[in-house]
Amino acid sequence: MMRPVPPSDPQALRRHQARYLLASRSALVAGVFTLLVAALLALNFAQRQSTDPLEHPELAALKVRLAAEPRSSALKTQIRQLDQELRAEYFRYQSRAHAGAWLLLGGAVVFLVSIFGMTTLHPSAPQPLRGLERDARQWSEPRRARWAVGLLGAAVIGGLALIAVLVSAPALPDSSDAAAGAVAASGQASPEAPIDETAIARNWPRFRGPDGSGRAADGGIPATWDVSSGENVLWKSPIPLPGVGSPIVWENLVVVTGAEKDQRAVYGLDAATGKLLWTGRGERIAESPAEAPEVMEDTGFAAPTPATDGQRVYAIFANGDLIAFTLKGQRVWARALGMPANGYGHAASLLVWKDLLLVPWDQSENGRLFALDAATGKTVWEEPREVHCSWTTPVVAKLAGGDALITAAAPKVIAYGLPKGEETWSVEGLEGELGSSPVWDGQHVFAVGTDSNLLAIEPGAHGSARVAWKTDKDLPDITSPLSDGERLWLLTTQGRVTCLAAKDGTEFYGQELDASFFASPTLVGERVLLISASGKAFWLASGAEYRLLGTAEFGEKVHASPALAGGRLFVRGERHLFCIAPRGGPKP
Amino acid sequence: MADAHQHAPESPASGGAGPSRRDFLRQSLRGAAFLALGGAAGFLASRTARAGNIWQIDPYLCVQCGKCATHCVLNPSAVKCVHAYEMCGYCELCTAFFEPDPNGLNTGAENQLCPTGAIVRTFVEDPYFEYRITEDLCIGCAKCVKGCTAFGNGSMHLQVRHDRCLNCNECSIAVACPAGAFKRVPANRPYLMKGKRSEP
Repeated sequence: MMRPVPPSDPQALRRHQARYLLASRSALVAGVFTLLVAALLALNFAQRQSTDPLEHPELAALKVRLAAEPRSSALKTQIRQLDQELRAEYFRYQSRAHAGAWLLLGGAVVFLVSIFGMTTLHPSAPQPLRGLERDARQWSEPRRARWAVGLLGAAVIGGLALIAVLVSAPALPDSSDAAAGAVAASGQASPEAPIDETAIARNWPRFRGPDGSGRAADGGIPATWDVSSGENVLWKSPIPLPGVGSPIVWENLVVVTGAEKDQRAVYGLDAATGKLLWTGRGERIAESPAEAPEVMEDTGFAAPTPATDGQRVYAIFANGDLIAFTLKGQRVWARALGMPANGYGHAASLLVWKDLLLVPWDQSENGRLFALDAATGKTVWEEPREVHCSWTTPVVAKLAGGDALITAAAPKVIAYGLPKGEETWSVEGLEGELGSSPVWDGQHVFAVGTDSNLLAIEPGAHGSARVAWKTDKDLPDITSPLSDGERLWLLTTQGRVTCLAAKDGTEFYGQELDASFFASPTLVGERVLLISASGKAFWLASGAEYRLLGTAEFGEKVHASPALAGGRLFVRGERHLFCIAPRGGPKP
Repeated sequence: MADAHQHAPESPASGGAGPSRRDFLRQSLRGAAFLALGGAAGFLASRTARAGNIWQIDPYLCVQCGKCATHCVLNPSAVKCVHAYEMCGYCELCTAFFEPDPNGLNTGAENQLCPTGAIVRTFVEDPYFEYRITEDLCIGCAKCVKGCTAFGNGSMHLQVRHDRCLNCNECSIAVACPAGAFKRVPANRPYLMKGKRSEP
């Protein structure tokens, strides 16, 4: 095609150039638009491939359950709501796909027309080729063409490979018994990588963080947020089933549990977006108790916090059902420990030490401490517990003689050597049914006997321990203590916060807060975070003087303790999981 | 052009004597006869030409495998469920509408078989109910057809809807159909429906 020679008339030349400019900019805009629409369509397609709303396993599972409980109106309501949501999602996908296709076509047409216009209106006039240049182009043009075809082919293959990878990794796993059986039958999970201590330290793999002490780096967590406007709320995601267990975090995965009388689930969410990545069902476990346990309303059926070792996620529920999932939500193993014998429902949380899953099981009779093979769920050892019923979660203390598991239940604090579980030392002096978990700050073990004393225990070098000091004032009954090594904070359910010297118990201050608390206090850098049962967060300075830095509201009840990792604060409310982080994401 | 004009042969009209009136009438009559002959031949050819063939499902061969919903190049599929009302029993417990062993005979989602809620159940008179397909919602999954065929009288069946079908040269559903139920049918008789007075 012959290109027109630019007009020599200056006015006509300006018009010519304006038309060329218009064509080139139109081509640019249309090209970007077309690429954007294509990307959105690909994303839409990938999402549809990963979760087919019309074949949703949760709906099928609910219908199976309804067959077993045909009179459950709650189940029917749940099925109807889910069915409506899934159908709406399906037709939204269809609508997006159709609209996107037309937009793509329109964008492509405008792009091609603009390119054609650009080519036609190109201002440079064609020049005859000189002999040598023509000869050179005879060789270079085919070479360029080969390269272009090769590169285009590589791009197409790469793009197809990317799409194949995207669409072949379903976000919703197969949580069926068949899949579970396949993994469990093999007796092992995927090849175990050694547990990375630094990864544990930067994550929040259990109740109250890496070492169970409730301490985290500041990470730039904002002190204020507004749930209604979204200010400093990175995301807020509904959690289908209720629970008061705290969230745990491993890299980009946040896990919470939820349960009702007759259903149990583990939810894996994207830490960056709050998107529900998978739901691991907790039903259909062999020898699971036929009846639901009696629990307190505030405790519920999903009070224990799950745990992870970066290989698997472990969860236990009020009926003693214990279950392990991969980080992608595939069931690995499950076992029923039996109906717990305690009046409030099982609430002690899990923890992992190296390749052992440690399960505290303090009951009114036949209490035990289980150490299970984390990969298979088989019992490695179990220790009988001659203690009262408790809801405390142990911590691992790095003592001079090696790692020890510190447990607290009336009447004593007991240290078990790891990995074998032999009792190393014990200290008596606790009374009552304990709910407040022990903490280890590197020098002292602090354990609270609700009806007696707080014991500050100093472990010795040779398997011994002594009570360094104790107090019976302002003792918490549900929340756990917090220590930064210098100061110790106690928070009662009724809202009194007390700050003591960690070394000798000298009181720095005691302050009444007009709120009640179930969530344990958390140290966030130089700030102490307290979250009330009504969902109000109090930020205190971590100094020896009481100083309220600010407050913020979640707008719903909060019973669970927070989790912090990657510069984000995760708080589980009555209905939602909240992620608090500065606008634009966490600071590096 | 000037040279060409100069060397062009002279037309007969440019001579002095033109054709006679009789010649003119004879040639006109001949031309009209050829035109009439050509028109008649074209008309007959158009009337006797074979109509094009298009794809359709033989409902008596269909095994309700569900591939019509997943293999059509269109999304949702051009295959829809149609209902032969004259065959329908208007049952209260319709096995095309209800899940096997339903929780209750009502329109609750827990009871419905159709994944998109495309079947509308309407009370007629005790104990009869009418079941009508909402075509815009139907995805051609054949779950209702399977229920109707297995336990009812098969009044619900699948058909390719030709207001939607692209009539691909090689129908991708026909390639995947395990029962060979896809057939080529004349375009002027595009449906293979059950019953005599059924409406698609």
